[in-house]
Amino acid sequence: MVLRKIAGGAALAAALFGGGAFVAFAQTGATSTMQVATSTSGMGGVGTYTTTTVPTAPNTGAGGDAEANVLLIGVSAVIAVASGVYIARKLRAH
Amino acid sequence: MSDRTRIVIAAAVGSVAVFVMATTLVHALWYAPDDSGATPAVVTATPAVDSTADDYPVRLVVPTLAIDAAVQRVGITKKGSMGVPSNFTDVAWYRDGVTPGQYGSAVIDGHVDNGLGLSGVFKHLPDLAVGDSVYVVTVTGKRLHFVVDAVKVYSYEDVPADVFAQSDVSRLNLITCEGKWVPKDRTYDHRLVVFTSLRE
Repeated sequence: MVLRKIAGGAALAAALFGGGAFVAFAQTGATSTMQVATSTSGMGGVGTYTTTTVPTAPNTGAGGDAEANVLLIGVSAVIAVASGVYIARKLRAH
Repeated sequence: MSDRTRIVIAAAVGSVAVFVMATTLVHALWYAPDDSGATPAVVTATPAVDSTADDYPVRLVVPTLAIDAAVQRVGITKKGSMGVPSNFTDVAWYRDGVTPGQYGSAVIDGHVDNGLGLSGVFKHLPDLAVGDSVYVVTVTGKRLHFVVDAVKVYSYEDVPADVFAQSDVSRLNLITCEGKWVPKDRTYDHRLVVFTSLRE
């Protein structure tokens, strides 16, 4: 009976974890982009020039959020474990 | 409050905690967030020789850094900056600019780290030196050989448009973040650019 409850709790936790991961992965679609390339004619018939829009530098870093992410993961893990322990004790008492 | 109610509340709290933990972990390790940037500048460029526009890059290889990464294709974000790879192991080519191998400056970017501060694909880009080789494999299987000409660092607000500007030389510029984290802008305060040129 106890094993069933543990297995059930583990399955529920795995489902929740998987659900959260699925939601997170579902948001990892390609960055929304827009194409703004245009072309114009050159002056005096010298030639055809292509006018393109130049982007600004990309943001290729995320490590600055590391502390906040680690804190969030740690706190949520502690809360999840504490909730599980509390539920297990309550169920055992009954 | 009955025990049953307490158990239900504890289960709900625990469920939310597990959900938050999972989404945060996945986002930190896999999901590369979009960035913000200024209004893009319009540059009038000289015409590019366009014979390989469809021969886009699919892999970037940097032997000295043990990089062999898939190449995504990105454009400009809603906020005007070059797009970035959707994860921390691929690199991204600016598809609205020059194709590697054409005359002009093709640009490829990659992340320096992920949301847990672990190494991204371009973590060791600063270690590249003049003379090092960079290879691009195109969708048709062509292998282009570029050699590093210079490595420069710019403030993230002052990266020159020349990085993307066309010229009469075939170039490939690699770009990533460097420096210190700027919390209010959620970005690093510098950009490192590796300038390379094509070797026949």
